[in-house]
Amino acid sequence: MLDKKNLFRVSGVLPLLGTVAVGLYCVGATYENSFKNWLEERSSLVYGAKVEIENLSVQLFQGNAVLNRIQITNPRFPLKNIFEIDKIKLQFSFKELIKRKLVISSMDIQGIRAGTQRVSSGVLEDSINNAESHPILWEKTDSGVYGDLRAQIKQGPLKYLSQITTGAYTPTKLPNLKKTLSSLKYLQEVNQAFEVSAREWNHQANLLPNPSQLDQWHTQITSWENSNRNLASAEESENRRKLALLLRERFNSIGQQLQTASKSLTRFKSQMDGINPLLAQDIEAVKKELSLPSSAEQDLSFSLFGLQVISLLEKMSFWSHSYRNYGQIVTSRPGLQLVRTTSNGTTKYHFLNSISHPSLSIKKITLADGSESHSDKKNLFKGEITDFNLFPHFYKTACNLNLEAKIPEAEIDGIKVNVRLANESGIPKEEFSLVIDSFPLDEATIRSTSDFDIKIAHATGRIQAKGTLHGDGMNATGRFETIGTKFSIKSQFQPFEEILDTLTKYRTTLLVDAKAQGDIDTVSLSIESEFGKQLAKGISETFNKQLAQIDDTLKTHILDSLFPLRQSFNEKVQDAENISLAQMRNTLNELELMMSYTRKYEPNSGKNKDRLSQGPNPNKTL
Amino acid sequence: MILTRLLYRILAVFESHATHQNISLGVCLGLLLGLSSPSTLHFWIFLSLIFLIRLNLAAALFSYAVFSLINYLGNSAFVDFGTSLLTRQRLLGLWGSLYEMPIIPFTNFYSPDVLGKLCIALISVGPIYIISMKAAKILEPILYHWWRTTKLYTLYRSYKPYAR
Repeated sequence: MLDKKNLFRVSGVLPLLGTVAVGLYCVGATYENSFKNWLEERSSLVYGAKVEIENLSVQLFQGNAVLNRIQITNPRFPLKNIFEIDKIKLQFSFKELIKRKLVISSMDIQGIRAGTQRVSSGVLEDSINNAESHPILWEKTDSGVYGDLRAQIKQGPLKYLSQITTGAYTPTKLPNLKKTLSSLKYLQEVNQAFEVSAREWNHQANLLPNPSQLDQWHTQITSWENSNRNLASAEESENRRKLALLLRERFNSIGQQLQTASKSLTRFKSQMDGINPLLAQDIEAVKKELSLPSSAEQDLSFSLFGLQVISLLEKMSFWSHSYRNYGQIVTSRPGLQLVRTTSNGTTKYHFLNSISHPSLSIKKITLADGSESHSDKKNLFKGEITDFNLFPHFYKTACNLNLEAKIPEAEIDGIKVNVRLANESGIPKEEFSLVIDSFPLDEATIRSTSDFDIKIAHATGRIQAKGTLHGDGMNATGRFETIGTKFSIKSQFQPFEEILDTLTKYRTTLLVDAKAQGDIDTVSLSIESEFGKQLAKGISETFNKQLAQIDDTLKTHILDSLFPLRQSFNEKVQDAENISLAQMRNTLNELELMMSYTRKYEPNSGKNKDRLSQGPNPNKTL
Repeated sequence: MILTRLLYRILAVFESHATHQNISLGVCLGLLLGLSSPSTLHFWIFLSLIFLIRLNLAAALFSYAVFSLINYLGNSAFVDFGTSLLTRQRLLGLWGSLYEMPIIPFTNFYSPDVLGKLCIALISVGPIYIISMKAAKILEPILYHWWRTTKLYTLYRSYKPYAR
């Protein structure tokens, strides 16, 4: 079917070779520039501000590359570079490069200068119009995993305080909170129970002998009293005995009812006093709901540097997570592992072989300042990174980063960074320590909220931090201290500004200790500072009176809201006392009076007299 | 005049190698190119076949356009197919060896969409060749007749004497 004779075109070989030759020549002539542009573009995009390389030369077959004058823009001040590097020399393996692997045996970074001036702005052109879609690297690493901790640090911890102290406070939220008041619930329950009892008493009051019945008995007894007892017939005597027994029975039962009702009424009255502790509880709950400060507790909402510390923890977590999980293991067998990576929406599979190199590995990076003289005023950078590679979970080599720097130009006397990325018996472990000694702080924000601003106008700072991430556990401690501190404070709320003024007037130092411990995802954080404690104490002392006033205001508001229910309860109690119980009491009195005449008709009247005296004495009870 | 001569040259290239085999080979090359990305090594190897194989360029271009559209529309299916190939236990050794070979990784074969498309393209080259041969036999007289009735062809014929 295939005519092989007419398949190939020998005449096309020369044009093909020509085209390939021209193509290779063009690539050869421009690849350094193209690679430089690509590198600039990619690194700028990742970093979030311009990264520029003056020139780049690559000797592919020899495995050498040199990058000259690399400028890395300071994203905050685009006309300045955060760093400028004179030269980066690197040696790579060409043998590995043709396998599409970048295996760098050594990388020398020479002549690092900090804070140099730029000729043109280093802002990325796209980011001018759309800053949100072009965050800088620092912002990209805000993983936001510690959202719960962030939520504890309120942006306006003194939310209602200014209104309260200026007398403009109106608890507008209170009507909505009514449903949750425990005192209200309690009162409703008492009221309901009382209504059930009151109905019972009413029912019992309705069953009492009515006035005509009582009159009838009274007339009968009077008539018996006027006639001669000895002349009464046997039938008449039996009637008198029956009535006497009936009266006694009714007297006893009504007496019992009255006694029970009286006790219940007393209990209901005393239950009303039980509302007082609930009122105090409700006041605290309402204050919490209204974000009013509580003098007793000191939580993260007032913590200084809380947000900065959380941000650092989030970055640690981000980098650790990114490094540990560069690629997901799909399947593995001895000596070979299939790992899936996704970057910019493109998925790739990597076949990791224990006897070969990863697709990117750097044996050693050396930092040197490049200058011959080492005077005190010269910047000094030295350090090295060893054994960095992608897929640390497979290759299990420990990567070490040690960096020391001194930048007198930026008034930084010393930076020391040590990072170790390791894998201990299959469990990833990252250790780090950081010391930044004596760096200047100008207009550095300590805490900025809608209520107040605390800044360090000028100070000399020092940071020490160290930590370990081992498996799922995190343990990190840090200390920030300043000397020669001059504070700058601002608050929309005059009394609070006065507290801050008093606290900062003669203060020249600031010391903050932070400690993070626990599971990497749900770490618990404590931040302590003497200044912070004094700040909280100052607030609590100064506002104690105001808080007492708030308590009174809230108590009045709650009591006002409870008034209809209390009023209705009191009325019902009054009604019960005046109507149902009074009826029982009157009936009982009348029965007692009648019984004083009928006692003699009862059988064994001597014994009954004793029994009556042992029976309920409602008058005594009431 | 230069433009006319250029147009003539282009049309002459399109009209050349118009046997059924040339047309089918053109379609097959269009298939291979259409299902490859210019960022892969094998795209350039396929492209170089234009010089080495007698094929109909018009058919190749037409086929390239059609398979580029299929490439775009069926991307997720190609990715799934590529993923299933790359993650197959039996083939792990093969992919692992290819991953460690020089030059081969530049084909980007370890990207599931690239491997999926390449495999589909290579599998379907044979059937497409046979189908396009048969289709060419049926359609060629009709299309050739239609081509001769177009104004472009008249223009091409009339300018032929000057195009030497």
